[in-house]
Amino acid sequence: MSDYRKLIIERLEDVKTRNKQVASVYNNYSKLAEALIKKQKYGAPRSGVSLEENEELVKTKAEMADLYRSKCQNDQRLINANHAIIEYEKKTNALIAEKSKLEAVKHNLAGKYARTEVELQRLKSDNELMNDERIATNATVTMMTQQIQEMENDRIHFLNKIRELNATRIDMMNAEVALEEQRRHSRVQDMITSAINDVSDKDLKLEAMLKKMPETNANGDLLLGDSLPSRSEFNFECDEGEVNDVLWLDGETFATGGSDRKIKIWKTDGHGGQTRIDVLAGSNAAFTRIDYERDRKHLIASSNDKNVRLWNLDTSRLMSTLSGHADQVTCVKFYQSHSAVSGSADRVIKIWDLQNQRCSRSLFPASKILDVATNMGGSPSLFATGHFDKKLRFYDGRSSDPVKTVEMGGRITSLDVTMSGCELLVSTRDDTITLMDLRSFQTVHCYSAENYRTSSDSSRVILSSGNEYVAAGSSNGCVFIWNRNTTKLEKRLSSSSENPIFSLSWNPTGYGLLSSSKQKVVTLWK
Amino acid sequence: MSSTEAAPEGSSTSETVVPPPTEPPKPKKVVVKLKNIGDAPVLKNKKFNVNPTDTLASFTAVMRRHLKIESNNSLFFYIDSVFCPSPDTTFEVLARCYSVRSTGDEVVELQYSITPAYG
Amino acid sequence: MDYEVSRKVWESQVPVQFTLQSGGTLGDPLPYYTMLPRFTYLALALPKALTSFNRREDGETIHVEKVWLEANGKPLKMYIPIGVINDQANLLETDSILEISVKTSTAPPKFQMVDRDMMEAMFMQNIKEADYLKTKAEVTQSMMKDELPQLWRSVVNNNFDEFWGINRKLMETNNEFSHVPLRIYYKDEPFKQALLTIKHTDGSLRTIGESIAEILRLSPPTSSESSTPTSESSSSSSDATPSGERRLISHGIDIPSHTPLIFAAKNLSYPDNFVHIVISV
Repeated sequence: MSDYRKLIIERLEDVKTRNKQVASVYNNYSKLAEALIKKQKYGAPRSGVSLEENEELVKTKAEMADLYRSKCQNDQRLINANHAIIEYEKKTNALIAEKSKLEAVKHNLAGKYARTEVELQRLKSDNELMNDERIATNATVTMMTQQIQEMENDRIHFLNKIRELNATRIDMMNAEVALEEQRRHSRVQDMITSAINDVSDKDLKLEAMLKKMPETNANGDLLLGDSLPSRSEFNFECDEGEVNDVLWLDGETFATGGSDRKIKIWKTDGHGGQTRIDVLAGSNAAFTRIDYERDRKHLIASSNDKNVRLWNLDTSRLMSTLSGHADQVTCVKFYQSHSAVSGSADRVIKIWDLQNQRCSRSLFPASKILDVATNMGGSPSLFATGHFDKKLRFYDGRSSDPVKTVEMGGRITSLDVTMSGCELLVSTRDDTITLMDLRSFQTVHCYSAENYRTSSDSSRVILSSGNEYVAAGSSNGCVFIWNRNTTKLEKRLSSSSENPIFSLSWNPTGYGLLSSSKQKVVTLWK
Repeated sequence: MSSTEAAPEGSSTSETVVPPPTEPPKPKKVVVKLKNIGDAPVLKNKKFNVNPTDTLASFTAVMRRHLKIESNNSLFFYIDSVFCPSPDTTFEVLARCYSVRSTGDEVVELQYSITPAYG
Repeated sequence: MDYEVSRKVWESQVPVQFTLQSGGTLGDPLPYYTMLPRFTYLALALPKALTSFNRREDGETIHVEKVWLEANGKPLKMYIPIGVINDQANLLETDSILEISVKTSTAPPKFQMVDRDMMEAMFMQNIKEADYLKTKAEVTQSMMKDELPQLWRSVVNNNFDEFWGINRKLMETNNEFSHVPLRIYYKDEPFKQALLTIKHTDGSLRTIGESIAEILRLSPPTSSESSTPTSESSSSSSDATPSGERRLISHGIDIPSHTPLIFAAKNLSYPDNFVHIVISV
């Protein structure tokens, strides 16, 4: 330790010692002063007191002083003792307070414990209840599952029954057709026999026809280049009302379908006439579109009765009725091998497996479908649909979303694909026909004419068989023909009636254009 | 040497010019800024120049008259809203220990109250 | 904290004589002699002295608010610790008694009567000021509401242990004291005070002697003999007991001038947390 501390302590000690002396003097002084005051108070000074008395007084006073001194000491002790008592009392009080605090804490804890116990009991019972419920629910679930299984079985059973019934119905229908055929046959037989008598005139006609035949295409399948039609070869009423679609099946036969709920098969006789060779019935509403597969001789048609029907033309038998659409079926096309794509006003595209006569896939483009095109270049699974919302959608068939969507100028009424499959002819309700390149989805050409008006939401626009021309029917009954490459309007064929033209079909030989109108009539242009 | 740095605030006021060791230093007045708290009357002029030798007690007496506070009412002065300096404190001590710099000048800021404030 | 020093400082006492000059009919009563702790205040001691005077049977009762105090012909400051008053009054004659006259005449304007409550308030303000210097009042502001009053009660009840139980917080702070609360008294001038750090810039501890030299340099005494060059006094770092030299007196003793300031701040401070040093030349 440094010396300053020592010095300070020494000096403080020094002062203390000196003060001690002063303190003792003070002490004595205070006692004396006290005594003096006492004397002044009690022993009042009297005059004329004798010396003895005085001495006695002095003695007594000394005794008194002693007494006072001892009293003083006793008082001090008493005070000290009192202090001690107060101190102890304080301590006791503190301890009591502490004890009561602890007791309160204990009480608190006990309360908490009891509450916890109750809570635990409650939780236990809850748990039990939950467990019971869980078991009950499990049982219910098992039961439900069984019920579902049963119902599934029932459903399969019913499905089979439906299929059986369908088959029966088709058989019946075919039987009926056969019967009709037989009846017609006999009628024809009658007619032949009656006609034998009157031959001479007809022979000439026949000769002329035979003479003509080598010029035309005898087979009807061979394409000799498109010829631009210039006149109406014939027209006839084939229907009771609207003829929605017309389609060449080969060089000589064609099919019509419309509001009389029948598909009729006609054959041209080369003399400006036609014979009905078959009638395909079974629909409950008008037919909308026809498609034909020449290899299998299958004809498929969409109908406003929400069904699609498939016939075999070899046997004239209805092969299947494909039901599944919820609204009028607007279009149908063969698609890949033994499939078909149909579009409907119910905004659903369905792909049908024709082998198994069932819908293999449904697509939901959220807009009415007005026409469908298949057999496009590149991918065989690609097909296009034209929609009421002016959009052209391309589907892959495998994915449910369109691979490409193109916005057009109007509702898309008709689609046709070139032979190469690389271009798509699109007719829109804004009186425009567009040729689109399918590789780039860019417009190649546009076709339009002053008086050309798209006749309806389903009016068909076609490419000629050799793809040299584009033909379209107008709402005023005229047929417009443009050069495909130059977009020049080559021909405007006006018919006698001014009924809007709904559909066109170019003869596969390239020679002969069929048009169907709103009012019963089909015209062949040559 | 080091002791001048130990009290930078004090040394900077008195020795801006040449230090005259023998010449009796001319007492530079201490600038005092007052701020009332609570119900204490507001002063029109809040700045005072006070002799450094004046004590807080004598200043209090002057301010009592200035603020017209009756003798049975109290008047307290606070430093930094924390404590009441001892009545014997001179303004020299206040300036040296508790002055604040505001706009270049060293100023003793005092808060005054007619009731005891700040616990 | 240095327990031994603090204890001795606490126990150090002053002999005091109170005399009453009442001018009453029975003449003045006997003087009252008492030993008072140095840390206590006249505001606490005066009522006892008056009780002693008032014990006379037929004397007039003297009331505290009617008197004023004088020593050596000057009005007394009741709010200064008695030890400081004693050191100031008995500069030359050591060991003499502090003689205090209780007067009943009209008090001079310089005298301020301080009662017990007022003293308590001033005591606490002193502690706050000291703490403001030491820690920017961090400690006092973090103290519990009752702790400052308890400090005062332990002064009133002369309870050393209780006092230091709380005073320790003020002394043993987390950070070093930024400044030391030190007041120096020179003759009758008001005390001087400055911002003093506990260390020099080189890290060495500042001593009491250097501190006082610094304060006197910043604020030379106005009295005539203050012309003594300050350089001489600051060089007198040796023990200051020889007479004629500057003596640093506190608690009735000469404080060695090489005592570190921080030691004085922690152990030689009065309960108001200030170190009070009287200077005599």
